[in-house]
Amino acid sequence: MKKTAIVILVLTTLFSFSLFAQGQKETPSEEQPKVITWWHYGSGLAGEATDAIVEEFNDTVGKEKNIRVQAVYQGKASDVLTKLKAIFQSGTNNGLPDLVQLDGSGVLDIRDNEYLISMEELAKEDGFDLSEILDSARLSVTYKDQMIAMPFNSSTIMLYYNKSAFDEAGISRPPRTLDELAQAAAKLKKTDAKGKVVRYGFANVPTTYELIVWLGHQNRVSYLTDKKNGHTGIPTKVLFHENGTMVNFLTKWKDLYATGSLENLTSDVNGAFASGRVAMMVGSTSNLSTIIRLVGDRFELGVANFPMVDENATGGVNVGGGAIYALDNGLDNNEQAWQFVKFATSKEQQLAWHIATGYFPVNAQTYTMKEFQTHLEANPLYGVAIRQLRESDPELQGVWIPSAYQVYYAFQTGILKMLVEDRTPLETSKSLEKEINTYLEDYVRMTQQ
Amino acid sequence: MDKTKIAKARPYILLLPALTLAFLFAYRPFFRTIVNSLYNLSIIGKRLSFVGFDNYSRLFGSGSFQDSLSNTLRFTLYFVPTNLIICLGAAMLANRKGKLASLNQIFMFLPMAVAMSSSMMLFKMMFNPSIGIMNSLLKADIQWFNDPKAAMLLLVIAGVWLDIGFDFLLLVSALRNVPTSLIEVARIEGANPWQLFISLQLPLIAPTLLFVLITSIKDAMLISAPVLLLTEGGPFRSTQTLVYQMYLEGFKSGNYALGSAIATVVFILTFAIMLLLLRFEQRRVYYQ
Repeated sequence: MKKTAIVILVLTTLFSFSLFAQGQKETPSEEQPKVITWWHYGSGLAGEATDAIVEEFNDTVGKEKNIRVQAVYQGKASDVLTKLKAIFQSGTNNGLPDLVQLDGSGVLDIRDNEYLISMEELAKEDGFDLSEILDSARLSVTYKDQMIAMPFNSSTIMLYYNKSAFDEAGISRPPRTLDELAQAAAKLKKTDAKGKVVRYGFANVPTTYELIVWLGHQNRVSYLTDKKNGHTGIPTKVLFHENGTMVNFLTKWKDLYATGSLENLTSDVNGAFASGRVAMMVGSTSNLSTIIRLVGDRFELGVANFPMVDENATGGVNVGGGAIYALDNGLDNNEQAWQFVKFATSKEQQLAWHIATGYFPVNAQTYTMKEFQTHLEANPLYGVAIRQLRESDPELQGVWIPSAYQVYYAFQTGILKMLVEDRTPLETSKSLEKEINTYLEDYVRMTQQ
Repeated sequence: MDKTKIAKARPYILLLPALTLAFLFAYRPFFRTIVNSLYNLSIIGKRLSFVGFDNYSRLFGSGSFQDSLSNTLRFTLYFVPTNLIICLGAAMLANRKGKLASLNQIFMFLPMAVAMSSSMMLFKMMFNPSIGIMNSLLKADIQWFNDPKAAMLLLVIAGVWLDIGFDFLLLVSALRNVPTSLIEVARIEGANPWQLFISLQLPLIAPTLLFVLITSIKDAMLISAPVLLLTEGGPFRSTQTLVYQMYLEGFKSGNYALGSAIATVVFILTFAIMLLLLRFEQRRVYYQ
């Protein structure tokens, strides 16, 4: 009996604390800093660098202005989006973070949301000069003439190659076009005594990420869908079939596969490349630091411009990666949130971020910094990506498309089928057009009023 | 109110909390999904217009759905017998006396104690083709995440791992309930272990075995979480199952109409298989 009484006593005491659990909200005081929540998807090297920026902000500007940023890792970019959408669907802004990092696949879901605060407006209120941000990066998040977010982890795609293998095969320079890539890949392929391939020339199965560029940089600038890849409105149909860019690309791709030196690898391409099993791959410039680490001193690493489909494909590459969006969660934190965004994209922070991760600095002033120049001289590989971006047409933009996941797999599956079932590029392009158009139609249907 | 009335109402009052929860989280969403599958829905799931079976005709015409359907049926075909044989085999082996028997049972039961997401993350690392332990143990170069056949096999292995703890437990206790006196009699009559199993143990554990079979089929038809965590439907949609596609359409793309249609199709398919099995049970399985 006595025991039960003690248990009840303890439980009631404990439960009574729950009454005060929200207490800190009810008593705002001067000393308590404003807490800014930031959902991000930085993991690995990017995660460490993200934490470093937040920590430095909290110790300097944050301390001064009484702001505290709380960075919450929410998983991969798609996981961040899924969680955000769950709150959007509830119809309230309760529980929204002040800031959220999203990649291109999330733009369509957030750009017309009533709780999105245009980053351009926040910048203007503070008198911030937007020309500080690199043009191509700014355009990559511009919708209806407004910079809706702040580009943060910006990257482009480039070619990674095994320089030691190139020397061994007697190839003097990295390939510029897909034709040259096919020739080089054929020379780089190696088989053992049993005929098993021990080194492929190239590994890739093109998906949205690669095709934005391989289709987009043809004829200077081409788009995958109407409405400028969805940047001026909801895309209603794909253009790659009617403008012939897909057939043109697939023809080159089939030739490449015919050399027998292309591996249809969809996962762990970095690992295969770093182990020497694959001599060339394409990947984000933001992977550079990770790949340097993975390769170690196994072979000499080289990087080069992303190969062009043909000589007429001069558009260069688009800016991919992610950006930070500001949201109205009813706590009136916008000004403080902006202070952090400004800090994170300042020239010094972008330099540190670039060195730690390989994402290129979005702040134009970083490029004139002396430390930046010294860094590039010591690490020439990083310069390739930056030069490539400077030569690119800023009008070449990523695609904002609904059902991004299914579109990704549609490309991957369609292209594989063409290769292993020996279908023609025309057939493949046509069936891809048909499948992806149904996703676009569905979305238009869903958004009709 | 008199006492008899209270006494009569009592069971219903006691049922109420459970029923409320079941209504809120099972029945209401279930019927809403079926109704929603006949509507055009907005990206936040609001009904826009009645479209009849339009969503279904769009669904059956999509290549992605045909892939999902074939993958799910193939997975069920591989997974159910494998799971049954392995679980039953393990239960037979563990069903003996001795000090190590209980240790065996604990080991077989242990997978249940590991959270699914953690074990799937471990699987992902173990089966990594370049740095995983599996390829190095097997001395093979299997592209677990890149070869469609290997990815399907990996999914079956993961499915068995997830189910083995519970199914093993059920089968072991069923085997224990076979009266030892009957087994002794059979042995004296000269039955060999195979005869013992087929003519004595199997009929007596049949109800449990049927339960395991039904739950395995249900698990196989509804498999989604291991797909999400391990392969994300890849490579080339070779492991995209029906429920995973439902998740993609509904939660990733906001296409709730198509998602609801898939959910309804999965339900009808699974339910039909269950009904067939239950008919079979009435004719073949005897309860003591």
